[in-house]
Parts: sequence; C-alpha cells; structure tokens
Amino acid sequence: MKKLVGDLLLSAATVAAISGGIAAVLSRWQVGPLAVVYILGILWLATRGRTAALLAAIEAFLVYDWFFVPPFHTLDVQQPQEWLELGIFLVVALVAGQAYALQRRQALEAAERDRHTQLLYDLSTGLTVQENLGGMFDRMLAKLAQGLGLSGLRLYVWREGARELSGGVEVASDGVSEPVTSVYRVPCRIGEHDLAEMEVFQRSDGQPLSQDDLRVLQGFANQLANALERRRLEKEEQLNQVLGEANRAKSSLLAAVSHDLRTPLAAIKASATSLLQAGADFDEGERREFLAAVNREADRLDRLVRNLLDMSRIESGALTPRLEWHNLSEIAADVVDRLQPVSDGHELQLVAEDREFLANVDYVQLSQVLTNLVDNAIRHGAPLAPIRVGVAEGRLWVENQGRQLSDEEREHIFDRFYRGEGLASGTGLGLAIAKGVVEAHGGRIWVENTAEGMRFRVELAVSEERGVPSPSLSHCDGRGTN
Amino acid sequence: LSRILVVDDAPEIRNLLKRTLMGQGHAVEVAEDGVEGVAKARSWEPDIILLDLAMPRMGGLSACEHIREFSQSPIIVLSVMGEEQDKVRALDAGADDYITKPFGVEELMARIRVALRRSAGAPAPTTFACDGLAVDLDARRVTVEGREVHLTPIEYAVLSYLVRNAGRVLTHTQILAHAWGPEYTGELQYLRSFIGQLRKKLGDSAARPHFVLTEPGVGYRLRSPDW
Repeated sequence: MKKLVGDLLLSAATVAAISGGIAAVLSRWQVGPLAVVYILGILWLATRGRTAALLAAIEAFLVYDWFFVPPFHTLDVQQPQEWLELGIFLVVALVAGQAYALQRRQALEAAERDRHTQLLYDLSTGLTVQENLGGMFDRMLAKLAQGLGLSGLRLYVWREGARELSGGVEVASDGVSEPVTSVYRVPCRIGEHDLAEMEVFQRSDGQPLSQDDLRVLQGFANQLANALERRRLEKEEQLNQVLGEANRAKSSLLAAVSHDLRTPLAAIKASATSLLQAGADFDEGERREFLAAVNREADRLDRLVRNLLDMSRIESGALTPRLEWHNLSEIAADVVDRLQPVSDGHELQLVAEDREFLANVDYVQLSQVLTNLVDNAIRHGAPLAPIRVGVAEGRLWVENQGRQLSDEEREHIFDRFYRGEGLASGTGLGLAIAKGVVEAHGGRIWVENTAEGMRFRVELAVSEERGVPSPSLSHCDGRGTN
Repeated sequence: LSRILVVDDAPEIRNLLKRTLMGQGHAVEVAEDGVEGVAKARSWEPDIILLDLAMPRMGGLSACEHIREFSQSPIIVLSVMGEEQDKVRALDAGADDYITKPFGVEELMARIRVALRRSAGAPAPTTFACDGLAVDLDARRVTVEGREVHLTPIEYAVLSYLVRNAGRVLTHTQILAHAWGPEYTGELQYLRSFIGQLRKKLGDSAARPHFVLTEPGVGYRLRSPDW
C-alpha cells in the first residue's frame, strides 16, 4: 500500500514535470507531437517496478490529452487521427514501461542470485576449515547476516535433547533501540535428525525476507548440518581410537600385573604350605624365615596394589594431591626405613642434613614416588651396591650403581609398561606413576646417567613464603617452663 | 581383660582379628556392618570397638557418630591408605585412633593398649619419660638428658596436650584448637612450624622423629613410653 501511494505520487510528479516542460516548449516553438518525451519518464519509473510505469503511462495519456490535444482542457478529441496517435502513444508507453520494468527486475534478481550463490559458496568453504567451532560459527553467522541484511542470527545446537546457544551475531541497531524480533527458525537436519536450529531476526531495513533469502538460509542450514555431522563422526572415530588404545593398554597391564601379583603370591603360598605340611620338622629359625617371607611378600603385594590404584587415578585424572607442608627428609627416611628390609641386600643410605626441608606435597603420594624410585633402583642396581636417597630444598634424588641407560631407555623410561632392556620383572608402572604424581604436584622428574650408574631426580615447586606468621598469643596464659 | 567389638564387612579380617584377640585372652564379638555394629555396641557394651570405615549399609563414619551418642568406649578406626580425610573426620567425630590396613598385629595391640588405658578411668598421664626425654606437667618441667629445656607457652601447650594423650593420634584440628584456640583450626602451617621447633628443642631428628611422630595427612602422635 505504501509502495502504491509512493508510485502514484512519484509518477504524478514525473508526468507533471514533463508536462510542464512540454508546455514551456510549446509556448515558444510550434513543434510536432512531443508525447514521446513521456516515454523517457515512464522508462525511468519502470526501474521502480511495473506499477509505477503503468500508472505513469495512464497519467501521461490523460494529461497529454487534457492539456495538449485540442480541444484543450477536455478529454475530447477533434481529429480522428489524433485518437490514433493517442492510442499508439498509450500502447507504446505501456509496453515499453512493462518490458523495461520486467527486464530490470530480472537483472536485479540475477544479481541477487549471484550474490546469494557467492555467499553460500563463501560460507561452505569457511565451514570446511577445521578449527574452534564457536569462533567459526560466529564468523559464518556474521557473514550470513551481513549478506542478507539481517539484524541478527543465532545458532542453537541440540545437545542431549536441549538447545544450546552455540553462536550468534546481532547487528548493532542504529541507536533506535527497537528490540529485534526473530522471524524464522530454520532447522539444520540430516534426514530426520535435527542437529541444530538457526534463529533468524528481521532484516535491518524492515523489509521481509525474499524466497531467495530463505533459500540461502536453508542452504546454509544444510551445510551446517553436514559440518556438524562430520564433526560428530570425527569425534566418534577419535573416541574409538582412544578406547582401542585404552583396551590394548589394559591388556598389557593385566598381563604385567598378573605376573607381578603371582610372584609374591607364589612365595606366600609356598611358605604357608611348607609350614602346614603334616610331619614337617622345622626349627624355630626356619619357621620364622617362612613367616618373614609371608610378611615381606604381603608388603610387596600391598605396594603393587597401591600402584595399580594410583595408575587408575592418574589415568582417569582423579589424582589430586592433597597438599600440606611436609618435611621431605621425613618422607625420605620413612621410605628408606620401610624398604630397607626388602632391599635384596642393598644398603639404603639417606643423604640429608638433619633439618626440615618443607615442601607443599601430598605425603602419601610423594612417599609412593620415592618408594617406586627406590624399588626401581633395587631392581636395576648392581648386586649389594648401596643405593642413595638424597634430600635438599625442594629436591629429591635416588641413585644407584650399575649399568647406565641407553638414549632410547632414557626417552621411554617413564612411559607406561615400558621395561628396560633385558628385564623380565616389573609392571612398567612405577616410574610412570612417579612421573604422573610429580607432575600433578607441578614438579619435574628426570633421569641422568652418572659415572657409576643412574640417578633419578625430582624437583618440586617450593613456595616463596618461607617464614610462618605467628598467631596472636594474647589468649595464652604463662603456663610453661620459662 | 577386655570385651572387644570388631566391626568389619570382610569375613577374613573379622575371623583373623577374633582369633588373634581371643588368643590374647580378650572376649570378642563381631559385626559385619555399621548397623549391626551400633546395635552390638549398645547391647553388648564393649570396652573397645574396632571399626572399619568402608562398609555396606552404614559406613564407619556414621557408625562412629551413632555410637558416640550413647557410648564413650574407645573406637579404633580400621582404614586403608588414601582415606586420610575419612580418618580425620572419624577422629573429629569421636574416634580415638586409627590403624591403616594392611597392619601388623603388634601395631594393633599397641593401639588397643593405649586406648584401653585411656578408657580405664585412670586420669590422663601428667608425666612422660622415654629415651632421655622427661616431661613433668605438674612441675611444668621438661628435660632432655637431664638438661632443662625452655619452651614457649605455645610449644608447652602443644607438648602437654601430646603428653596427656601419649600414644594416641591427635588431629591437626584438635591440636590447633587446644593450643591456639578454635579460631585457628585452619592454620596448619603454624602447627607445622611449631612442631618443627618443638622437635628441635627435644633433640628429635627432623628426618626420623623419635618422640613426636607424624601421622601423614592426619596429625601427630607422641610415642607411647612403653613401645
């Protein structure tokens, strides 16, 4: 309606202007039929559309007849040939206007289609780029909104039955804070399966969306659905790979563990059955030896089970150290004292000043690290050679005498299930756990060859804060010896 | 000899403990979960209760709280490595001590002896003498190898609390609340530092403390003179 009124006004103005011009010319010169001049105005108006051209043709016909065809100021015509002239003028004006308007519209539509095609193409090439999804969505949506002149676009991805806003763009309004209203919801689906939904806001200029605009939106929605589906399949594939790897790891863990569990179990079983033998005649010393073996092997089993638990915690990311200030030399001494009886004849030496080396660590976990390092040194140390456990500010080390590590061993020694060259025993878990725990503490662990053998080093983060603030003592009475 | 209630869901542990404790001449009852444990604690009135933490139906922590509503018999919590926070909760909920599985019988018997002595109604010890260290709380006197040691009021407060509970674990919270006041129970580093100073003054080794023993993640324990 608004457009019709506009067309009417504009065509009237155009016809009036041209009529004025014709009247001005006719007042000076006697020239032939000037009606043809109206055609120019009609063609110009045809760029606005067919209605404007049609209105202008009729108006021009009427005005020309009224003002310039005698008798003037009537729609009557004197000469029959003038009827013919007027009729031809009307037909030419109508046909030329309509033909031009049609051609003009087709050209505009073609340009628009080109633009839409280009837009879709740009968007589809953008979608194939593998990167952070959120950022990509935002950029694609911004491009699309700009291309279609939309005031906003939002993308919701369906996750477990709920819509989740995954990207959006809103064109800043021109200060007139009229709330943008969403006009369409375009589903992104694969087959019957809804993957996402686009919420489309009205055009910035208030015009309705054309069929072509809607086609572009649907086209983009389809591409988006494809991209999302591809992403989902890739993730599934990755997950399958991870699961496959975990499965293989589990198998080799089970193999290693059953071996390591069996060794102490065999020793316990053998000792117990020896003692149970009917008629066996052991003296007190022999009996105690069997019992000591049971005791020792039970401890070994305990350490192994603890390692398994730690490993599963590390793997599932559930190993969170409970940090408290502990004295590293106390932890080291505790481990040395505990392992000395099962050290296969190695002397365990604690190398530390007798003072506190405080560090913010989980006591149990760090003592497991040291236990595993010492256990490793016992396994790989030269027979009967001493093993040294050192403590200093924020640092620990365990060194043994014996062979040195090859480059390959050094590289893989902290890998799960890795066992050194020519070694049958060990789960290949201890050092991996040590590494996992130390790293969970924000520390560092590495191994180096020494002149005599190898040395594992642990470096822990030490807090800046050395002094301990003293609390107010005002509420304490003077009970004390001084 | 005492009446001991063993509450544990593992039959092997129940049977082993029953046989071992009866071998020492104690009377033993067993219960296989918290619910049964609380019921037997009420009906049988044991002198001491050994209470597992992880059990079906009712765990050791809630059992401990329930038992404390009607009984002051000592409770020793049986737990596994890694349950430090549960141990602390149980101790703060009224348990007397804990022991970590797997444990040696000798260690368990020592814990039981300490707990029984406390419950026998005897007043808390006011003296402590062991390997050169002598503390006399009545005389407010601390000597190492006969030489008098000067302690700050806080150090003395911590030491006297430990002496009254010799052999028994005290949680960080308990010690802080006792020596500093309840508003300081979160200030673990105070305690850490004071224990360090205390050990130094008592001639204790930093790496291998002989008197004031660390219970990792839980608290401290003054060694029992008769260990």
